Order: sequence, then structure tokens, then C-alpha cells
Amino acid sequence: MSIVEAEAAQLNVDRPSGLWVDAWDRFKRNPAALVGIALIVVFIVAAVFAPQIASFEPNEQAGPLATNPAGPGGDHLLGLDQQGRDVFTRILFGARLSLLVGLVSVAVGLAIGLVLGALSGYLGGWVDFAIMRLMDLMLSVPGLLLAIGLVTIMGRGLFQIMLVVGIVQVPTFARLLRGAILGQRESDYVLAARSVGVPGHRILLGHILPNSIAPVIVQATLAMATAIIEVAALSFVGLGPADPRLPEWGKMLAENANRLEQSAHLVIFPGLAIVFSALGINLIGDGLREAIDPKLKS
Amino acid sequence: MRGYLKWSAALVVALMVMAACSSEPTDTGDTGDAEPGATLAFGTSADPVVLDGALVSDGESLRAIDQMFEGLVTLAPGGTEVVGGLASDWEISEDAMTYTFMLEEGVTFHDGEPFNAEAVCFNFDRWFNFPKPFQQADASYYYQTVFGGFKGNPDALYDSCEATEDLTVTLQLTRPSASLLGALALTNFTIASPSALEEFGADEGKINADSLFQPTGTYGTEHPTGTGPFMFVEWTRGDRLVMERNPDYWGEFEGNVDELIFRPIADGAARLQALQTGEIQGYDLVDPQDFETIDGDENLQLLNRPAFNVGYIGFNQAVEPFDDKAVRQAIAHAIDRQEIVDAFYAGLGEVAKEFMPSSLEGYADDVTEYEYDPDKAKQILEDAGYTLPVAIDFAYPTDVSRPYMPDPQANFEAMVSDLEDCCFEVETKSAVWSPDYLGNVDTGKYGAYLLGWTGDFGDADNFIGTFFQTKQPAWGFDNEEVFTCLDEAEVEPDVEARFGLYEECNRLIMDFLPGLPYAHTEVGLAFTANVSGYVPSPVSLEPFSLVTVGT
Amino acid sequence: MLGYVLRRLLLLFPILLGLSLLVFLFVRALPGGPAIALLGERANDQSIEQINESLGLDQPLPVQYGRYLKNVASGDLGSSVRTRQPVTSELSRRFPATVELSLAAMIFAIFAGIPLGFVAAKRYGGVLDNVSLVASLIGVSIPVFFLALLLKYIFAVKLGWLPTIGRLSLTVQLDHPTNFYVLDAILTANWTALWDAIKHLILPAIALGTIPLAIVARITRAATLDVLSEDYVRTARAKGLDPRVVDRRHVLKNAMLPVVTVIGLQTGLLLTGAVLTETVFAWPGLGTLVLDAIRFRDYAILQGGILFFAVIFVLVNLLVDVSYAFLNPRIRYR
Repeated sequence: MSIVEAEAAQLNVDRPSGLWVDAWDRFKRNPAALVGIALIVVFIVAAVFAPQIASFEPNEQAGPLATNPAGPGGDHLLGLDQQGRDVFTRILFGARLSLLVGLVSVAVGLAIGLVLGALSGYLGGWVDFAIMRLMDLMLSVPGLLLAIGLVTIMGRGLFQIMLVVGIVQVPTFARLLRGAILGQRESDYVLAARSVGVPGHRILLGHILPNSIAPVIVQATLAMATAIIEVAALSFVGLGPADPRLPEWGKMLAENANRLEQSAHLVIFPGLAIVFSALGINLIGDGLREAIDPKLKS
Repeated sequence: MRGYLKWSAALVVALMVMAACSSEPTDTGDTGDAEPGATLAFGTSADPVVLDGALVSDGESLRAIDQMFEGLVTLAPGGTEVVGGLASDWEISEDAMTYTFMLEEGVTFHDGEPFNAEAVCFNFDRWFNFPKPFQQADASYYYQTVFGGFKGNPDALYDSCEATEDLTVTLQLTRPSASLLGALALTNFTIASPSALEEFGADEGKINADSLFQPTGTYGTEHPTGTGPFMFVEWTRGDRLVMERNPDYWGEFEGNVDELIFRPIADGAARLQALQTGEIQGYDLVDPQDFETIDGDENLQLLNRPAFNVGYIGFNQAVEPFDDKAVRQAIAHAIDRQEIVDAFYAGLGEVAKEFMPSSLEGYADDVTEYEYDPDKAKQILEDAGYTLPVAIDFAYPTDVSRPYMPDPQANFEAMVSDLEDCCFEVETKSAVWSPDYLGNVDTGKYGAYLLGWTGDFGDADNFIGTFFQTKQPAWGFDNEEVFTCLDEAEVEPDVEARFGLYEECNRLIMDFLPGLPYAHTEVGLAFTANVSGYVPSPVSLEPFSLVTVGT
Repeated sequence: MLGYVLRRLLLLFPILLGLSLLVFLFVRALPGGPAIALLGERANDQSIEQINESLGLDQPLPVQYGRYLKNVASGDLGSSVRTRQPVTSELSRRFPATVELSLAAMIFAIFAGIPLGFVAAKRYGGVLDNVSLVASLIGVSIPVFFLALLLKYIFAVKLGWLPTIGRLSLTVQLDHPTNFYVLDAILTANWTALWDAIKHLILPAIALGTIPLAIVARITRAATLDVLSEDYVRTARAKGLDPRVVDRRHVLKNAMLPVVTVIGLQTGLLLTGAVLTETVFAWPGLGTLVLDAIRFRDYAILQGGILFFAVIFVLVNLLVDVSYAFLNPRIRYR
């Protein structure tokens, strides 16, 4: 082997190439994305290890009942709430809830949206028309109003709310996938596969979907952040999860919005928790988008 | 691009400088001394619905109408004692079926028309002959409660009204009534100008697509015409209701307010902020969390409206296990009501031991009491054969703040926590106050629920009579003893005996424990320090004609 | 081009019809009767029955829907159960308030966002770029009502620079020919009122406009980056054209395309955000109207309000699509 060949071989071993590896490389080098990962790690650790980290129970009355409860100090890192519960504990347990909410609602939206988008994009014809008109209809009402409407009918249980927030995301995913599929359908490799006789569904599942996945992943991460904020917004208008004992961040914020002057700690800390979690997710999503294609338009 | 950036940056800076420079609150227009010419802006919690006394039951409509209209009788400021209004004197016949009123002289309506007996009868006849859509509960609740019904209804109390002289009115009833006089002090029975009522179509309307009566007249929105110390100027919904002093007012105008503006501000914190910045000089329904702030501010003052309400947990005995008195008693012992009242009522509340406030005659001091004792609660349940924890459902309303329950959720959470720490397992339910929660309560869908009541007039009947005199889905019980006691008390003509009967009923009720009263509270009003003369009233009859805005 | 516009306009009707049906069904699916709002604790089972009967809530649904459509067609949207006023008058009163706020927010978003994005792109990878990126990401990560609360707390309550609520100070008098307060003040040459109205607009507009600003900035940045690397721009520069002229003539115009699209998409965001921001600042617009209508089950207002929102949204989207086609004739439509 010549020296050049040896070196080339070495390079190949050291740096296998491919779309995903390149993307990961770019991602790693993006400082914003790394900050995002740090934030999310904190978020997940808080969610998973809440019982171990917190010194109180989320619904334990650790202090007196009070209209204007005490702020940070003493045993209570972030203060107490009106029922005498420790705020820091509730925020930690709230991370669990937000994580759950984010994951479930995005899963719902993704599942339904992908199915609809795939059917629409691949089958075309009147199926496409019907599905897209339904998506148009859903998109013609602003997201929060649609969510408000659905929650009012379906009720304020935690599960219903996650479902509703997921449903509101469906048109975005559906359109995204449909667009990607339409783009892919006419591409060379698909035509080639077709001409060779590969059955339709195999092309869809084996070729088109994997290649359309990139923008979907980006959108899914962003959708998680949106989900968390949307549940907070629902709580703000009084349509959040009904159980008053749930330590949901948006709920905590909304309940104390009119007490900002007296109990700023009850508003600011849950609010910051929401902002940092959503920020972390958005940074990662953005980093992914940049990594996959640095100039990709949204 | 650089040029653009520079230009826009300069604009932003300019705006900020202008903003910072004009940071002083704008003047209310009265920087001088307490000479006539004062403007008073008052923050209310909502817009009035309509300015026609006969057709409203919400507090804000009543507040506005109180300033512009008067009735035959009224209440002495700050209390529930009936005194003369447009009627200077009156006579009640032996059989309590004929009421004769002697009217004040020299009174005119805001439109210049004379006030006389004919005008009074016009009003009474108008109400009695209301078109069907106006007879709905949400339109004329108080007329129905007091008079029992309209024309064609055999239960109607009203028979006729006659102007026996120019200034003498004779009201004829279909049956004796001991309490009509007090009821006539209600805002709903204030007298309006007949010519205005006719000219502006107060009774006109059409049935629209929703089968809803839609008024087409402008009387209640643009031309409310009464005899009161203030006259209507203009009303922009969502913005302001403007009234001005009536220069021809027949009575005493002790204050110095020339222009009275009601500004609807739904959020309590926003009302406080408006007060602090000087946009308003007073507001009602102060949130408990703001008391400290107002107390500590030397430019502001707090006034208290005397307690005339009750907050309670209602039990629906049609739902198990609330039909078992042991369970109800256990709940009463399991909840630390004192802690809740101390924490969430800004020091203005007291624990209630029965379903009406102590200021009302008929209040009994020696009713059965249920002290906070979770162990006793457990004992009672075990003795009755229950395995702990006992499962119950409990509901609270969201999206609302009532004077007797400023923060329903806070009360609820504390109660649930107490109940679960003791011996119960609680299924929590909630709904938006209106119409869901109220609808559910009234149709008996909840087992236990948070609710309350603010008194309309100074009679025990208005509290325990309303709750317990008849069988209702909200309470789910059929207790002849209680029903009979209240029936008898209501019609007892001898005043002292009546009070005694109501005391008896209160003892019965608190022994039966159809619900658990837990709080009476005063309500807070806030004003700037330079406002004086405002007299809070237990039934919120608070004329601004008594108010003086100082330097 | 004309054909495209016409086709889109025609599509409008089925969408609106579908929407009206959805809204109608939704509103009817809500439990309870609306008139209880007026009674409060004084309601009891009898009054509830009586009210439901008189509201015709016991009629079969198709009949109710038919009546509703007939009325909408003749411009009658019913009347509010609470205030008994016609829905159309309530909407026309509140609509300018929301539009004024949304416009102010949009102006803020555009005039701050585009230059931000543009400069960030020009200095790609630089400090400003990264900072603006993070700033805009924070912008989309913050719930609009939290931001509104913070702004209100800092600038209105604590510092007292700006008013806390409403559109106009109580002590300022203003005639309302159009109900757009800024416009009204200009038309009536009432300069105190003009400044007062603007002061009331500032905080809500910033709160409402921050998220669109973040998005506009990012889109502009991305679009500018795209265009900057295009051949014709590099050619123009290579030829020696003043870079600022190149910017203005080529880069900016082409970068506008996606921005215009995004502006259209932002309408949805703005309407949503308006609902929340209006609550925080007690702004008497459509947002608070619809929220109150939901709270009080005011059917007529709810139906009319949601429909109205949707119509606006659809129309604005149409406008955006049309101007998109106009700006770039190369776009083909199916």
C-alpha cells in the first residue's frame, strides 16, 4: 500500500461519512445547541430525580396557610405557596408533568399528523384533497382558540388536555410530511425503485419516509416547546388541568398572575422554569436544523 | 441599512425619553380645595347590564341605578333600617293588605317631568304587566321573589295601585304581607319617569333567532331617567359610565362630587394599580392579598363593608354518603375553619356558626357547634360503621371571586387537605362558575360544593328562607320540620315573635346540618386618602352623593 | 394570477361554512344555559329550566343551525345574552381595539425584526448573530402572558413610566369617529390624546410583538443568508457596485418573500397572543370579548367572535398568498 492509500484508509477509519454523522458534527460545534442540551439535561434530571432532590412532598403543607406567603428564605429555597407548600419541590415535580405533557402531546400530534400526511402525500387524489381541506379548516382557527374550544368540550382532565394540545399540532406535521413526500416522489431514486418494481408501500416506508424525517424531527422538538407553553396558556385562561393539586408550571403561574406584586416568587419561578425548558428544547431543535442544513429555511 | 438603524434607534430613544418624562399620574382635574367641581372615578368589577332597575339583579347594575334612582322607601346609610325615600310617610292597614304612601313635594324627574302618585302607579303597573320575556328569572328575579308573580298569576301579591291624590299612593295587595315595606327599599323598585319609559321604549323589543328577547328601546342604555342625586350623561360599555350631579335634586346633597364616573376593571390587581396611579379614586371588592399594600400606603385608605354574607359547604343529601348525618358531622369536625378564615380573608373574616350573619335579627347564639377535632370525626365515622377513609366528592368553582369566598381554590385546597389528613378520600370536581358550576349545583349534580350568599335585604328570610324553606335539588333533602318552622316564621305578624321563631329555626338547622357554614366576612373598599363621607352598607346601597373629595 | 385569486376566494365560502358549522356545534356542545350568568347564586333549578326553554335550546339542532345561518346571511348575528346588545355592535366596538394592538405589535416586530435579522446575517457567525439568535429563541420560548406580566410589572407598576391598563387614561377626552384611538386622535387633532393612546399601546404591543419579532428576525436572517450567497449578488459585488446599493436593490427585495409569508402566518400568532395580552392589560378587544363569552356561555358572542376571528385569519392569509405571488412571479400554483 502506498503512503497515500494508507493515509486515505486511515482517514476512512477515523471519519466515516454520511448525512447523520455530518449533522452530528455540526451540531456538536454549535454553542447554542450545546447550551440547549445542558438545559434539557437539567430539566430531565429534575423530572426524573425530583423525589430524591426535593426535601418535601409536592402537596405537603410545610408552612402556614397564607394569602401572601413567604418568599425564598430559610428551609425553602424558592419560598412557599398559599397552601404552605414548598415551591422548589413543586417546580421539580412540575418538571415531570411538563416532560410528560410535552412527550405525550407531541407523540399524539406526530402519530396522527404523520399518518394523515403520508396518506395525503402518497395517495394523492381526493384523499389528499379531503385531508388537506380538513387541515386548512383546523389551521383557519388560531391554535390557542382551537385548543380552548376542544378543552371546553372534552373536559379538563390531564389526559384530555394532552390530547387536545397534540391534536392542535396535527396540521403542521401533516403538511410537513406531505410536502416532503411530494418532493421526494419525483426524485430519481424513487423513480428508479418504481421502475424496478419495488412495491409502493415499501418505497414509502423504506425510502421516502426516512429521507423526509429530518424536518419532521426538527418540527417535533419545536412542537414540544410549543406544547409546554400552550398548556401554560390554557391554564392562564382557566382551562388547564383541573386538579388543583397538580404542580403544573403554567397553572402555578396563572393562579398567581394577579399577585405579582405581593408574591412575585410564585409567578417568576414557574415562569422561568417554563422559559428555560422551552428555550432548551428550542435551542436543540434549532441546532438540529442548522446541523442538517445550515441554510435550511423554516 | 445603517441609516435606517440609526433612525429607528433614535425614534425608540425619543419615545422612551418622552415616556419617562411624563411618568407622573395624570390629574383627575381636582387639584384645588374641596369646592364643588370634584370628579370621582370609581373602579367597578364589571359593566352594568342595563340601567333599568326592574330588569336587573347584578351588583354593578344596581350600584349605578342606586345613584340615579330612588324608591318610595330606602335604607338609612350603613344599615338595614327602613327610612323614607320618595315617600315621606306611610300607613299600613290593619290587615296588612293596603299600603298608603304620602309622597314628597316638589320632586322632578331628570327630564323635568313632575314626580307624583300617577308616576308611582305607572311604575307598579308597568312591572305587573311586564311582557312575557321580561318575566324570566334572569330579568326580574326580585320582582318575582317579592311579589310572587305577574298579571294572570294567581300567586301575585300585587292587586292594584291608585293615585288617590296628587301625592298620595294607595297600594292594594291580594293577601297580607308583613315584609313588603322592607322589600320596597330594593333598587329594583325605584321609580322611573313614565314619559321617559314610554318615549324610549323601555318595554319594546323583539324575539330574535335565539328566542331571546332583544330590547330595541334605548331607555335602559341611553336614557335612564330617575329622581336621584345624579343624572345620566353617557355610557360607553367596557369603558365608562358617566353621571353628573343633579342640580335640581330635591333632597340633601352632602358631598361635593360633580362628575361621577364608573370604570369597569375586571381584575382586582388592575383596580389597585389604577388607584395607585390616580386613574380612579376608589374601587370595590379589594382582593385579600392587596390589603397589606393598601394599609401600608399613606395615600390610600381601606373601608369595610359590614359582613352580610355567608360562605358555606353545601351537602346534597341525594348523593351518598351525605344523607348520613354522621358523615356531615364528621366533615364539620375534620376541617379547621379558623385556619382558613385567618389565612384567606385578610383579617376581615370570622368563622360562621350558622347560615346567617350575627347582625340579623333571628340569629341564635346557642346553636350546635362543631369544633375542629379530627379525632372526633374519625370516632363518629367508626361508630357509624364506616371503614376509613370514606369516599366523598367535593366541588369548587373556578374563574370567580365572591365576597364570601375571595379565592375558592385556596379554601378548597385547604379543606381537601384537612379532609384527607383526617378520614376521607376526596374526589375533586370543578367547573367554571357560570353557568356550569351553578347549573350543576342547582340540578343536584354535586355531593358537596362550595357556595355562599350575600344578603339582599335585612331579613332572616332572605338567608335561611331562601336556602331551606322548600325542597331543592341543591340540598337534596325533605325535612318537614325545617320547612314548617320557616313557613311559620315567614308569616308571623308579631315582630318579636318572628325573631324568636327564626332563632328556633336556626337551632334546628344547625342540628340537622344540611351544610357547613364556615365564614362571614366584611368586604374591602379602597379609596385615595382624600375621599371622605363614603358609608359602606351591608347590602351595598352606597350613595355617592354623600362623598367629598378633598385636596 | 387573477384565476388564482378567484379560485382562492371561492374556496373561502366552503371554509367559512364549515367553520360556522363547527363553531355552532361547539357552542351547542357547551353545557348549561347562558342566562344563569345574570342570576349567580340566585339561580335555582326552576329558573334554569325556565331560561333554557325560552332560549329555544330544546329545538332540534338542524333547526337551530338553519335559523342561525339564515340570520348570518342577513347580517344578524344575534344578541349577547348578558348585555342584550346585538353581537355586531359588540364586535364592531372591540374589533378596532384588537386590530390597533395587532398592527402596533406587527409594526414593532417588523421594524425591529428585519434589521436585526439582516445585520445578523451580514455578520454571519459573529457575536451579534449568535446573540440575536439566542435572543430570538428566548422570544419564542417565553409564554406571551408571562412576558406581558413582567413588562407590566417592571415598566408600569414598579417604574411607573407607562400606564397599566386600558387604551386611554380616564381623564383624557377623545371623540371616536373610527374607534382606532390613534387614528381618532390624529383626525381630531387631539395631541394629548394621541400621546396618551400611544403610551397605552406601547407595553401591550411590545409584549404581543416579541414572538413575531423573534420569528421575523430569524426568517430574515435565513433568507438574507440565502440571497447573499446567490450568484447574482456576488456578481454585482464583484462588478464593483456599492455594497449598500446591492443590499437595497437585490438582497432586501428577495429576502422579503419569505418574510411576507411569515407575516401572514403570524396573524394566527397575533390573534392568539392578543387574547392573552389583552387579558393582562385589560385591553377591551376581541380577545377579552371571546374569553368572557366562553366564561359566561354567551353563545351568540362566542359564535360571532370566533367566526369573525376566523374570517380575518383566512382573509389575511389570502392576502399574503396573493402578495407572495405578486412579488415572485416565478411561483407556480396548483
